[in-house]
Amino acid sequence: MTDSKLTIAVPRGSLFKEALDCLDRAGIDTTPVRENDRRLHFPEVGIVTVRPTDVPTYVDCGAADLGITGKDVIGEQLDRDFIELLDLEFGGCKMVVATIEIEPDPMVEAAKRLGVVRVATKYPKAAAAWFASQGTQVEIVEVKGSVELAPLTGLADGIVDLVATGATLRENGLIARAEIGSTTARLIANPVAHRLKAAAIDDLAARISPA
Amino acid sequence: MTATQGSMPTPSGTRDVLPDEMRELRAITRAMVDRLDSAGYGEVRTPTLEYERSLPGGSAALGPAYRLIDEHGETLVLRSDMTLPIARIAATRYSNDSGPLRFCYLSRAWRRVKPRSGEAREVLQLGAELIGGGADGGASELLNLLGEVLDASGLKGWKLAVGDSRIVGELLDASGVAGDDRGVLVDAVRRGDFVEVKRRAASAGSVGGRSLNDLLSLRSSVDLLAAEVASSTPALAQLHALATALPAELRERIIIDLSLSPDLNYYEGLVFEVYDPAIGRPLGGGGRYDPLLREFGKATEAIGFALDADLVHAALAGEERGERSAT
Repeated sequence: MTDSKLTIAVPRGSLFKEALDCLDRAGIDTTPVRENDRRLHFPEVGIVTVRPTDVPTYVDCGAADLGITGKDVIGEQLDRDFIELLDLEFGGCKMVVATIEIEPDPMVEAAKRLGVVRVATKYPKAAAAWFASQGTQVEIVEVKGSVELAPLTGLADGIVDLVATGATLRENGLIARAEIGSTTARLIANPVAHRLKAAAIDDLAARISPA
Repeated sequence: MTATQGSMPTPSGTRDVLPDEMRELRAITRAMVDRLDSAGYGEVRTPTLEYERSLPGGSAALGPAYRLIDEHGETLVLRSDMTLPIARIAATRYSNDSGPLRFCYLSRAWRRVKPRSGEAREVLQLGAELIGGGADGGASELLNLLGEVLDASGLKGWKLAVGDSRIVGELLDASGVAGDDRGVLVDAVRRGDFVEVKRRAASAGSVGGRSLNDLLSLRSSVDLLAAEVASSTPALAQLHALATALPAELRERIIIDLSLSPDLNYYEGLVFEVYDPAIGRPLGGGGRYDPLLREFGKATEAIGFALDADLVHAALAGEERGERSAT
């Protein structure tokens, strides 16, 4: 974190392409990143590519000054220390509660007859908060991926997940029962870098800002 | 019996310090404590355990994380910092001394930790407290002292962010923010959620020709802070005057941050944080805490700073690494 050269953590995942487009607009040359999908560290352009859920970790610890990550990821990592600078307005998704498409709703049935709903999700905090707000007792089953499989195999009564178009839900015979939130990509900053590199960060934020 | 926590022999967030590390740490802390002592800040040691009932109620929010019950059923707490014990000393042992009182310490304190965060549960703190500091509450004396202590540690790149806990409230008053928006904005600033700040501040009035959003996210060097901004609220004007009067070599290391908000609720007025480019989190900080002393029954100015000695050590190692890779 010397002088005012910035290091940005970019998530390799669904936000990857749009995050790079965004940095292109801000005048950062992302060609080396686009050309090589095995390399992770691009010091010549100040970019590190990491798993989406690791972006807050790199930024909190100061290994990156800035990071691009979804509001959904931020919501699960509020115990990390970083500054949320900008809504980048891409990567928009809805967070929904979904179950198998049968009637009656398997979650309502479980709540009524068993007193507790089993919900599989990658977003345990968001899921627990929503069910608590509904007054429903819930048992959260945390999974790392392929959440749609959980209700089909009996792992859970329902899921909480992000949907962009709903195609994956439909392909697996699931239906959204409630929309519980939404997410877009955010620019986050390390609190120390935010002060020590204030001018460079404000300048980049102004160039990257969608509005 | 074997350790129950897998292979971890000490509680998470605590660790053993072995001779190589200890030798370096001792050299750094000795240089810093010597500097404090020669500036007239005498070193004190206080009990590790204090009665919970002798801590003031208003400071409960910074609460001790660990409690023990002694053989008489008294609740004892492990100190969570040294400011509380020194405020107690000033109020009880120096109750008839109008000051100024100057103390320093190198002591361990115990904190609650967030799970899996790698945070230290037990921290080695080095700090100083100035009680009854007079006109500016001792602010310029203490900031100069902090600078000397950081120089004594051997750190080269350190910086100081300064703010005032009253600025955000004054800016919200001046821009006419009231009702629900006010609470949400104060909370968003404290959490560092500038997406929410921008959303909520959009309809607010401007102050000194600047939008509320720009002001709340302003970080500036002392010399570059525009005059119309510097005079926009009483607390900011006071902070700017203080910073302007500091010697040039200290002033150049200062960043004025309008939204700097301390984690500890006993600060009122000047607050500051210490950074080094080699490390991604604050090395320490401090501020004015007159209200805490009032709770102990002593009505006077109080100001102090504390540095995390292990982080200062890590920052020094980081600076050395940076120099090696630069050559």
